[in-house]
Amino acid sequence: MSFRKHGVMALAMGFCTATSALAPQAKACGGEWYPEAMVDPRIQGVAQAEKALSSGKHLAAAASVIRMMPHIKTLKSKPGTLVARAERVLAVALSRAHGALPVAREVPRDVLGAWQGSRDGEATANVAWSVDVLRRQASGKTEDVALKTDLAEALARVPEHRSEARSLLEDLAKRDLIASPEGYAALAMLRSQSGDADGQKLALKRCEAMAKSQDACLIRS
Amino acid sequence: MPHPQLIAIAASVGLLLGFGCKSPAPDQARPERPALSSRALAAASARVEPGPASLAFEPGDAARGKALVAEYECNRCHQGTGHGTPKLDQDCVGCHEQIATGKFGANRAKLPEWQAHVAPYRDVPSLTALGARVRPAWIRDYLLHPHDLRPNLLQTMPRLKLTPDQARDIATFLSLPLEAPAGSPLPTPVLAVSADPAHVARGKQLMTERGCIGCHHMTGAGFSPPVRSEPAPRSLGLAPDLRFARERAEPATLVNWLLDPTRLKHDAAMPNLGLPAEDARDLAAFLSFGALEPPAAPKAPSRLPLLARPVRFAEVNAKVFAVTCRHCHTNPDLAGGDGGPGNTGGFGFEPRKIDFSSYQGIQSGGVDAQGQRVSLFEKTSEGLPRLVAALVQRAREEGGGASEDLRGMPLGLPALSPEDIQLVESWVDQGRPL
Repeated sequence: MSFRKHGVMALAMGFCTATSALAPQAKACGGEWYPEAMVDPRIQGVAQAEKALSSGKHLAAAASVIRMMPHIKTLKSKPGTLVARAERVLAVALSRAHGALPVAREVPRDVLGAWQGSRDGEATANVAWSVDVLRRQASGKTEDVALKTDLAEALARVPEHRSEARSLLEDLAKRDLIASPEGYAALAMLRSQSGDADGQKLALKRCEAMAKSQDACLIRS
Repeated sequence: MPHPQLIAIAASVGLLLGFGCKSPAPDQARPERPALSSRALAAASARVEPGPASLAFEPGDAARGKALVAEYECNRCHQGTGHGTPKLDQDCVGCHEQIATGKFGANRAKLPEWQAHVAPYRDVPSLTALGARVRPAWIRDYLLHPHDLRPNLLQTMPRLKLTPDQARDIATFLSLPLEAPAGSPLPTPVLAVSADPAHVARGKQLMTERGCIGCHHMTGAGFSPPVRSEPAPRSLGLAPDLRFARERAEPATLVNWLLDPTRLKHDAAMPNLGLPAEDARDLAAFLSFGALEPPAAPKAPSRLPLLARPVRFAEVNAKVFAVTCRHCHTNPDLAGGDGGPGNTGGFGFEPRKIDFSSYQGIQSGGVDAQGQRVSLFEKTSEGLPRLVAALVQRAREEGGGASEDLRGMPLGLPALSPEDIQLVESWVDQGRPL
């Protein structure tokens, strides 16, 4: 193909791109044509997912993120961006669901992927993804104790990471900085596994005082 | 005196000695002082010569004062600081004005809600030609120990983290005659002000006759507080409590101000009342030498017992955190990188990284002076959780008490009601339930 043909092709593609970007819905039938501004619904959507997660509705939060960004695992996020916030919601929800999100009713089948964690190894892989995401985000925000709490909670789901989780949570608990009831539930579980019954009771008590629903404080290793 | 005249005089004389400014028109460009070279600053510093009756003031380093005015971001609230108007997201008063007038580029549905919040926070006194009006010693002391100077305004000067030296340097800079007077040179007062009892007594009488007390408080002088119909004109918010006039200004300055405020401050809201010189002299005599009751003793804030009913986060957030705390302590990720002065820093404060935008953020505490994350619920020496202690402290500050160790919150805004503090304290006591 000659250079000229390349140029024509590029121009044509540029025109198509510009047209489609400016006119998501062209009103050409009987009325005047005008470009219509579109608002990215994910801005509100991610904020609502964060709110849902914070109020204990982790499945609803996760389903919402998967619907909005079904290809989230392939996205590269930068700290503080919408994708990073969505990633965090999904990672925390996944760890709270032990890697298996029963969201088949809320998420179209074609984007459900392995999120349900129903096949061998999927749940484990999901929790591992959750740990990876939270660890990456926490490494860029060393002072964010809420993120540290979320990371420790996810680490507590993985047997080989439990001592790291315990160390993180004990340090935060000592300073009254565990930022979520689920963080205290994870600490209770870790203390229980190490035979610290009194410590477990204390952590559970804090979880129960903070949580909206006592379900958040159920210990499940 | 006919009623309409009385109203007109009350409205205009009400701004007497206001040392305030006209409320800025939304689109009005803010006049700023010209930038000075460091040599000019040094020379000007040497010219700050308090009069014989002034409180003692040793001029400081004006160049450093100018830098401190920038560091403490005085221009986020005040005009006439010698620094330009900041961009809108740093310009507190400009932003409030845009919201109040519906010009702010935000969600239209949100504006009415915000308008109710910002309405009282649109008026801040301009610092234009401060040195021509106010004693530098008073500026220094007020910076170190701000108090309620303008009872008609909800907000007060915040307690900044200033050392005495820094306050002196700022006072030195702000006292410089950086601008030429708007009109002809100031006249020497025709009549000298003295503590002559006859002049003082007549001055007190003029306070009522001229309608000064229709707009101004003068605490401790035996006048009833001003009564006015709602809504009061915005500019009256700037009318200072005249109790402090004698500390703030020389008697001769008071006379000049009374005779023509715009000679001292080009953007003064106070009109020229055409007062006879004798009236100005006697008013200045009363303001400077009239008897005042001693200031009220500091009042302990009223406290309410903990609530027995359950208090959950949603309620405390809706009533307190979201409407009061979050504006200055928010998540920078959700606010274009600027989490407000109480998060990413500002007004001379280090970044404290306190985030009231979410439950998790609040549980995450803040960074202390040593750079360590500490809980907002850690008990103080008084046995109160830090957060509650700061709220109680603000009520104490309003009652006249201050502490070097603890800064009252919300900074520079009215203290929370005892009911709101009770709500927060009860929520903390119940284990901070979601």
